[in-house]
Amino acid sequence: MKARLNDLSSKLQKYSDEWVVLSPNDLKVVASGKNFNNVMDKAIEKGISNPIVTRAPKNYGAYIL
Amino acid sequence: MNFRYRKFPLNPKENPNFKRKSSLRPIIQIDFETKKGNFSYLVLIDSGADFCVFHGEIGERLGFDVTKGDELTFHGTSGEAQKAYFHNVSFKIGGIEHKAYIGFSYEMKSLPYGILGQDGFFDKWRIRFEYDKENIELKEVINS
Repeated sequence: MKARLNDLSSKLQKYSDEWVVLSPNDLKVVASGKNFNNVMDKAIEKGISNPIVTRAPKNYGAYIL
Repeated sequence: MNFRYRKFPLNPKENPNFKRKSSLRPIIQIDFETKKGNFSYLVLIDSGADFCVFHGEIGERLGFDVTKGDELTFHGTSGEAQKAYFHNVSFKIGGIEHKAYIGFSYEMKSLPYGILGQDGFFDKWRIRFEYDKENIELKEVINS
């Protein structure tokens, strides 16, 4: 079954306390790491234009903001 | 314009009484143009937030000397005081230029995305949350 593009739950689950960069077309993870600028530069070096960045918290929990 | 709700992970080990492995949230993508290249950032539309606050690292990438901005002390549900530093920021929402006074904070590492709150977002857009359809409708407020 084709995964829905708005569903990031399985893609992000394995990351913890780091920045994660996604490809804008298919939302695949293209780079991750602790240092924001390094991760962004890594994605650009891979030829990803307009990357999407998000942060993986130490532990994905429920939020009440 | 319409955006899809996004599903983010929920760690079942942290919440053993709840069977859910994910949570559906009103999170949209905003788009920045910078000298280092364009990039996008995920942000939660949060009607309970007084202001818009993004991660400090985003501000640095945009070229701001983050802590030189106007300082605000804000509080989450724990009541713990956090600092944000405000700057005038431009970005696009669905291709539409948006300008707002945005806070940047280095004390939101436990949050996966930025926050779009009342000042700087809800004052400029009408928002319809349609959880059952997993849809968010945004209409720009046109001041006559």
